[in-house]
Amino acid sequence: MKSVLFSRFFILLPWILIVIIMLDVDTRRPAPPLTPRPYFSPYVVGRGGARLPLRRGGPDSSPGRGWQKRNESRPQARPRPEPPLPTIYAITPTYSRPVQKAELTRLANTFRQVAQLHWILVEDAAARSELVSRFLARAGLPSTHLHVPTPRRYKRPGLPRATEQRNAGLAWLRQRHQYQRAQPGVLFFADDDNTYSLELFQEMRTTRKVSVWPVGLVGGRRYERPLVENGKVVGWYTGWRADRPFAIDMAGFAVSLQVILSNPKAVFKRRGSQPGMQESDFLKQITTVEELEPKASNCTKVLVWHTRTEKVNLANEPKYRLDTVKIEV
Amino acid sequence: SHSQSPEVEGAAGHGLQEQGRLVQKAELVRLSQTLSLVPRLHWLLVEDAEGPTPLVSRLLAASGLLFTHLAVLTPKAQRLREGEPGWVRPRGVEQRNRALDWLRSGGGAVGGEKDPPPAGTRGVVYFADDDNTYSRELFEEMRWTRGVSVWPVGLVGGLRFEGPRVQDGRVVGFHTAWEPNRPFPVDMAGFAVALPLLLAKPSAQFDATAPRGHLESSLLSHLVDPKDLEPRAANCTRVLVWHTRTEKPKMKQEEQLQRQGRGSDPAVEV
Repeated sequence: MKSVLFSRFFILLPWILIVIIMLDVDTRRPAPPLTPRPYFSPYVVGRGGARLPLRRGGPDSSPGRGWQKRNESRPQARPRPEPPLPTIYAITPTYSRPVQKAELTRLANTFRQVAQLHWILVEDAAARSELVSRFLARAGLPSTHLHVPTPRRYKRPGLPRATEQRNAGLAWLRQRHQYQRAQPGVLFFADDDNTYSLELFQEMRTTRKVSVWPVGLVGGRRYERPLVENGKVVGWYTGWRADRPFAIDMAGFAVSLQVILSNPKAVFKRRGSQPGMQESDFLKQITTVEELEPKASNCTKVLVWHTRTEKVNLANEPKYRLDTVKIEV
Repeated sequence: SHSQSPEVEGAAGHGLQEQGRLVQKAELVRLSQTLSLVPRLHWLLVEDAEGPTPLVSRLLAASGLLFTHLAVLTPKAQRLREGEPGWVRPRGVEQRNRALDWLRSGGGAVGGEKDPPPAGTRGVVYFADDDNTYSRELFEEMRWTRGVSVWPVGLVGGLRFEGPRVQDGRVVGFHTAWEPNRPFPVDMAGFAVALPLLLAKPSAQFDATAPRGHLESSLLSHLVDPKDLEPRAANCTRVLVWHTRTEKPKMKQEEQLQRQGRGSDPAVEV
């Protein structure tokens, strides 16, 4: 009797094993999608641990923004499948100095809270630094890490800065999209010491070609801004050389990805450019004043500030490292 | 087992007159963005003013954070005079003490949550000046403070960083170059205090007459011995907060225009 049972068992065993393996294969989750899942969760933990919709939007945000309203009305439901949000590409040139990590930290703290934002960080360096590499690995948002050193002859005071780095960001975007139809996207140049409100990103996301808005604390004034009449830019309220074709700061405009791809030769120039003309020389390659789209309530709200961080006083650092540990700052 | 402890934090907004502190809104915007990343955080914003200003009230309401809005004016004798460098008088003293008062006995909030945390609430208090830069990780380091916890601060005291020296998990000294004989040579951004400890020592507050650099010590010496400080940030080897300072924006053009009666529209808030 026993031997019959045993033999039955051993006959069945391989079939049981096969069934188990097949079940395992079937229930295994599908391979992860090729496009990265959004890093950004639309909710942050707010008061008392409750989940609040992100960026309910204060008095500065305009009502009726589709994606934002959706979060408000159904905070727990999965979002309806809607056309994807245009990706915002932030091109940030950065260079090594004592406050670098601090600046990048607070910038990342802002950018993490913006949906569909891709950070393109370009170091003024011959190679990727460990500091920035480690930093980006923990920053918690989608990013691309590039580097290009500024030639020494361009490092004199008075010459425009970050030209090569911004162009590297543009080149990366152009190269990435050369073989595929680009999803809608918007790019802007996010210097690492400025301050950006979250409302600014809502405003720039609907850019069709080139959009503009006021910038606080720049040009020796409380703010500079485009002058707008009947929804069109007609002039510039600026502290410096209002006769420039585009009298606007780097922080005051965004460009749609499509315009960048359609103008493959548009770059920030070195040859023949005067100091202070970087923005103007760039914009005149891709747009006209007539085409500009005014944002921020017809350019009457300040949503970005040209803050500058004081140079750090390191007067008490010894000339040669004396400490026994190496601590990154 | 650990239940989440609420974190209470005080931010002393050095809000001087609107014209004198043009970067205020920008600073508070980026501070609020960092604080938005921190779970169970209660922002105590104390204005240097007689009452709440519309700019700050609006900003707090829009921030989505749990907050309490307080205001107390620095007495004239303590105020910076025109042209005096910032370090001459200790700043934010009355404002920080106002926050401590509110935590201990409530009353006087001009916006936000009016009632302080009930007695027995587990929490920690941190003085977060609005021009510093804070990483998210810093707040998790301080959250479980039992007495007073400490960590390095970047870019302060003329050094890359200042911080406690730690051996076998205890603070045995301080890496600092400026006035190393201070009882607690730590920056305001370099420590946090458990809420129950502050409530147990109701007279512990900042002393406005403390000599330059001794403001932190004037509070901490009421609360703890240096040897009992709790080191954080991997035994004080990681810099998670930086003493950044924002440049005063140049307003040469603005001043020119104002003299001509053509200043920027004051209705546009900056």
